[in-house]
Amino acid sequence: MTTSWEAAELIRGSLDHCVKCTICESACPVAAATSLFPGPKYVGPQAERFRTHEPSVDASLDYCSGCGICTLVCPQGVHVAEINAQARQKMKSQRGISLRDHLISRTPVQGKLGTPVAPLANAVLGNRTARLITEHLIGIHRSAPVPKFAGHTFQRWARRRPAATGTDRVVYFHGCSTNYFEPGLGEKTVAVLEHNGFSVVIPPQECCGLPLQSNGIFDTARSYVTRLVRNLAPYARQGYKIVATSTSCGLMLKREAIEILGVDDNDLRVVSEHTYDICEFLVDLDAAGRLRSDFGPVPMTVTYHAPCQQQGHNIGKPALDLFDLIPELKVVDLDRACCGIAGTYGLKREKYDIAMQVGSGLFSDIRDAHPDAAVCDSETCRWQITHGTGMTSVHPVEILYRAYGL
Amino acid sequence: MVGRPIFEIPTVPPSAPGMRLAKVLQDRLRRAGGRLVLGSEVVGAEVQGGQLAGVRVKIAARQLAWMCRWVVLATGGFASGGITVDLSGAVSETALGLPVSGPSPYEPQFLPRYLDEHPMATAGLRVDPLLRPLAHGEPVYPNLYAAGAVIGGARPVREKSGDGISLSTGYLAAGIILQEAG
Repeated sequence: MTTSWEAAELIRGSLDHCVKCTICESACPVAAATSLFPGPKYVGPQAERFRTHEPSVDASLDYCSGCGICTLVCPQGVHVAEINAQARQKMKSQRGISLRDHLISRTPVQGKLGTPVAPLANAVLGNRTARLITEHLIGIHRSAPVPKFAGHTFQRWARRRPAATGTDRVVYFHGCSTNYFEPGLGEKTVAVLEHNGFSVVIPPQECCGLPLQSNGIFDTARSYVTRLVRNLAPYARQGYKIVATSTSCGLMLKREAIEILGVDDNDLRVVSEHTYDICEFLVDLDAAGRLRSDFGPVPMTVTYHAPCQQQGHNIGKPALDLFDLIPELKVVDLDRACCGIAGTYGLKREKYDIAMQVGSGLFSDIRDAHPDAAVCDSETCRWQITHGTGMTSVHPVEILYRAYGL
Repeated sequence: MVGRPIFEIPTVPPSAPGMRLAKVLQDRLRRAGGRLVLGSEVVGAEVQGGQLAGVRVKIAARQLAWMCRWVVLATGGFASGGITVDLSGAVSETALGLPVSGPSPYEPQFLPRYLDEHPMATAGLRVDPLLRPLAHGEPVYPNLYAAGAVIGGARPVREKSGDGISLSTGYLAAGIILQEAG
């Protein structure tokens, strides 16, 4: 595997466009929460010129959560977050990667170990003493929000379905969280797509490698994502669209594997071009006059938080357009940047408090709105929101499923 | 506390008044049912029957067209990338490929003295009184308006006119569209 010239050029080339306007520093949710992180411009375009073959004396880059807001707001098109993700990989390969980071970034390993013994695993993860020991031994914060194993996988459910036979096919990339923790979300997604006349193909699939990437373990991340796209590419080559409910994993396929990991692979390219976030896909369907409009009333108040990685798709907030179609649904669109968790960042002992501080504004906005549910497209953000507010947090698909009366 | 009036000077970013103004405008937009999409780059025009029917944007993994009735081009001047100059010295507008007036490749790119005005400072679009960018004296599209530093002809650094031009042309463009929308 080679690192693409475009990826290298995208990062290094964009660096020179930084005019030091500091808009990224003003927008960075982590820099606002802790003095341990001097901000994306400081650790990115400025520090980049000091990064040589010798380890840097400055490790503040490690406090970047990787949320990507800096790239989003940069008016000069500098790929600040991507520069910093690559720099973190370099720094961690020079300084060594902890056992903790190896463990928390391998979701399929956790899933395969935890699923058969789900009641036991969930009891251990919910036990205060066990969590205290885990914090001391490994460095996962005792209070950090961890999901519960469902005890069965979404893939098992998928294998028991009859094969897709319709001509109007769509491929579902469900990701690890749906497979091991929230298989119900996958079933509802399939129901919503089938309601709209699609035959849903669910190929065997494993992790996209995103948690590994954000922990700076690029080699394994590359082999994960390459293996995943081998399974998805044949469908993309036939012209089928691939929809993702895990918005961060969808973004990994769309651009992060290319731009951050620098994977130069034909399977990845064709998968990337055919991957859609589920809400993006459904809004496009509506624009084409093909989305079924038989939405029943949903007399609920919900807050909507567009997670950072969802914003990285550069598609705005399509979930809001879908919610507009649902009678009696009251939606409070929250104008907060980040919930703090950033995938695995908020799980770490030394970063948990920062993550909670980053999310505090979002949590209080949600509590103030007194919603029936807090809607958010990203699973780790939903777990963090529930942890920070005590409120139920659901994917937009759950609201659509309910409105369709499925 | 100090018993004296306090005033703010808008500065280059991070500018507290600028951030405050941006927040006020964004809140108003959201409350009015508008959508704000960050981070997608406009890469071309969608033209139908002489009208600008929308803009082509680059999003993650692909391009798509956003269709609309009016477009305000506020991509900024040379410093912001709205206007660019290539290695041959040719000046161009980056988002929609509109004709630009500015120093030609055959004119000097730099003047002799350190504090002389840079010739690129005046580069930008020519517009009519309704802020519509012009080509050969005629509006390029009847439903396209320009605002801010993408409009040429000013010497913002020397005149200290940059923020004033941005605010007044942005306000005017919005007013014209509101009038047309009835």
